[in-house]
Amino acid sequence: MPNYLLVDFGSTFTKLCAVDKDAEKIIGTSVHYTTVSEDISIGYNNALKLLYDKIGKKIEFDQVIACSSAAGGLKMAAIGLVEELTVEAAKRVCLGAGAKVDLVFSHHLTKNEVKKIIEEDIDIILLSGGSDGGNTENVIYNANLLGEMGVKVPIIYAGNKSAEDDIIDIIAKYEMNGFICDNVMPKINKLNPKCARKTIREIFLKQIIEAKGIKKIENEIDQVILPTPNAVLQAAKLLSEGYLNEKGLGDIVLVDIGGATTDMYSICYATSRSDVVVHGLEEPFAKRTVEGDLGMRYSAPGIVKSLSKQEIEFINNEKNIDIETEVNERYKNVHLLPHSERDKFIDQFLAEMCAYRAMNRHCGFIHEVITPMGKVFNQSGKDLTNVNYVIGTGGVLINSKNQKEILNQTTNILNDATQLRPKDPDFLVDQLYILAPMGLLAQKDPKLALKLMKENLKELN
Amino acid sequence: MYMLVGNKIIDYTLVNSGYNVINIGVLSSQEDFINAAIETDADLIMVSSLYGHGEIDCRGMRENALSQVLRIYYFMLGGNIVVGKQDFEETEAKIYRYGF
Repeated sequence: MPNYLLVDFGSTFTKLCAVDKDAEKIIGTSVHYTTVSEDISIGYNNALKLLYDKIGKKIEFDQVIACSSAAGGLKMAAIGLVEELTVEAAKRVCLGAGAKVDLVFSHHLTKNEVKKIIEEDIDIILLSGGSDGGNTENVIYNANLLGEMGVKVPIIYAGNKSAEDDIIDIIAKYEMNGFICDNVMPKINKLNPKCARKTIREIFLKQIIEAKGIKKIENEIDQVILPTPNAVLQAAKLLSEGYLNEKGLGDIVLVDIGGATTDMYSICYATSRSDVVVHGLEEPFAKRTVEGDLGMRYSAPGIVKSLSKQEIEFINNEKNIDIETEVNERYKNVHLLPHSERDKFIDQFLAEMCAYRAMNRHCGFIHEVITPMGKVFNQSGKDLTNVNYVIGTGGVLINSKNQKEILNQTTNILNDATQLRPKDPDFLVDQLYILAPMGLLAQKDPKLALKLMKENLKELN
Repeated sequence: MYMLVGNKIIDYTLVNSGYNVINIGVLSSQEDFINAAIETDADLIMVSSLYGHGEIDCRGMRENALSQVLRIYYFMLGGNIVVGKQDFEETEAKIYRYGF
């Protein structure tokens, strides 16, 4: 019986999912702490033993493939010229490749900014700037400074093609670890992520997982093939689009509330309306945003940071809590699991806030402009009003007793006509943590991956 | 929408006259023009406006551009740029004072 073992080396937990290809079902799942700092295979083998215990016997696997966000995940710096254009294009490409974009810089780099890139252990730099045939001065300056300051991490050049020859010379002159790609923004507002994303993945597989001590697991498995967030994005895309005669779910949103970040994914076009003018940089069909200040533990203080004194007081009175103390406790104790009803209550509230705020930053906006020709609608970002499903994943959501209320926070609960939030979606929950594994399986057997997702995502009534 | 049609006509005319046109579309702000000029290393920023508020929308544009990049752009403005019937020469003088 041909079996797949799909492995997610997470930052905290290693998760396994075993699939029977012929029976077309999930045989079992297991979880154990990730042990990348000692030896990644320890955590993997412990999880494997737990899996065998659950299934009741040891089974053989034809293919064992993995994704990883261990050892800090894939950390990237995005550099461009203008914030709203090539910087934003570079950032979107990095996020779509499954990276955490820890540093974002525009215009001329400063020496302090380059020092930050070195000090914060960035894995890959994506350098962009200038549309094709446009500004070359900025990227040449930045490449030179990166070279002069001895930056040795991989640098992907994905900017103005007119500067390509100069960039190649700079890479050679300073013996940089450089790669050349198509421009991520070849024309104004036109996004071109393909080449850069492919190169990011190749560097991840050849260099990054080796550097993080993850590659040695390939002595025991077939291959680590994707960063975990990219596996989730692939799963979401498949679930939305369908495959051959297996129908997809149509337009969807996915929210993943984690300990350090809240990730949001939307799979749909920017708009289906003909009466709007869509502004700004082209929106990707499969879009991912990452809110590094919204998380249940490492980033818990970020949830209340943007609240005013009045709002904090209101929350404390309403909920009978001290929200600042609660988030600081969670920040200091990142492995805290909620045992008491009070802890669960606070976690529920924080998760709802993460979902609400993350959608604020992900969804598009619309406003009316009055012209002599009548009313015109000006839209920026994506219109999510007609998505069919909002899908939730992440520990706090999966373990919540009120999952619907967390997912409801992504909809237009305040009836703000300017926000293009999902209007009336159905809700699904990734109760078995299968999204990342199914993203991996999608690379080998998309039809089976889609079928298993549709069968195993839990519907909320 | 009429302004989209006008935008396309101007684009088509300029391209056929041999210009390299970066068309940023309709309902664009000063920032949209300046950002596009920076990325594309443009020489001329041309604003076409139909809805009567072009003159107001372009106030401070030259200074805005200069504050962001150390280079001079040429600016042009045309269309139905003021509300109602106003003296052409007065309007023209105002636009020249803005640096257009």
